[in-house]
Amino acid sequence: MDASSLTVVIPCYNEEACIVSTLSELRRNMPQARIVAVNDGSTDRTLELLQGMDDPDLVVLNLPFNSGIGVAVQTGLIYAARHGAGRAVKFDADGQHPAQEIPRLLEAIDNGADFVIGSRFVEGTTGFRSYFMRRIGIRFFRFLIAAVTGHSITDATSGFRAYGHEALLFAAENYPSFDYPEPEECILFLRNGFRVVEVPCNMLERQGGRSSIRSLKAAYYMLKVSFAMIMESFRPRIRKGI
Amino acid sequence: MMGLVQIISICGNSLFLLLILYAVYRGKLSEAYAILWIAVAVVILTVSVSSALLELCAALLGIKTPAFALLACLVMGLLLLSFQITVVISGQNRKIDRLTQEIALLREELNSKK
Repeated sequence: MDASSLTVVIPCYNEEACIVSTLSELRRNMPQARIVAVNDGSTDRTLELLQGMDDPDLVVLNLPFNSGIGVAVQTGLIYAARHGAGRAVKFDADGQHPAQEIPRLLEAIDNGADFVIGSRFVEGTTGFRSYFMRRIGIRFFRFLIAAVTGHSITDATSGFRAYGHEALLFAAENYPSFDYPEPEECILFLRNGFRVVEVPCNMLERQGGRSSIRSLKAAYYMLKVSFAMIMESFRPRIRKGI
Repeated sequence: MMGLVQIISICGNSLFLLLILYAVYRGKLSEAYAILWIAVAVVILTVSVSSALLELCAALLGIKTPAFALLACLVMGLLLLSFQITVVISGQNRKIDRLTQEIALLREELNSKK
């Protein structure tokens, strides 16, 4: 394992509109990184576009059918762990995450953090901060995480995350294979004694595709995620000796 | 004297028990899952056959008509079975997820060796 080697995991589901530009931008900013794109049973041309990319350090993992973002991310993390990655970054395919901000997340890892979240809400951010209703949901998750862990996470739904080596191995084994795993993942890491840090991050509006959380589904999402978070907070800790 | 619900319940449950045993015998239902089905069917059959037991059940549940107590037992048994099925499905979902991941990883490994 090379401690500095980086794997960027990108879950993709029907991202034909922006996957090529996202990957090109990512490669331009991170020329040394291995990029693992996980096609989560897309029904559009995402897989075809991924396989057509001329990038020797791009690995395409193709899930046989749509299994949800949790399964897709964990597949990429398992690949990274098995192929000796020292660190990993989870990056969205829809162009919301600015590739030039990755070094900021990695810097926090180098400074001793295990798990870093790119946050739209910590001081110093000026980018896109999501829509009003979503911000209410994010505030609620912040309250819930603080209630069960005592830690404040301002942007629990941000999918822009970095993993140090130990956190990567842990996530590869224990990632919540749930529809919307990000808030639950925060509790999982905090309760298992990992050093979780947020860094300011200027996000963009999605450049293509459709959000999977819309209208009525949002209420169901809040209910499901909150329930999963509460249950996670009651489970015995997985990591020993903390 | 037996009520109509009791007679239907006895006949239905006896047939159902036979069906469970036949399914296990033919290997269509695994023994592990058959146990709960058999337990529920036997309990309902016992309550159906014994009027005294059925009346005791009704009294314990605070139900005036014994036939309704029988239906209540049936509903509870079905709820229990539905719960067990959901637990089994959840376990299978986790296994399917893991298999899906391994398929994707193995495919990539095969492609990279070509």
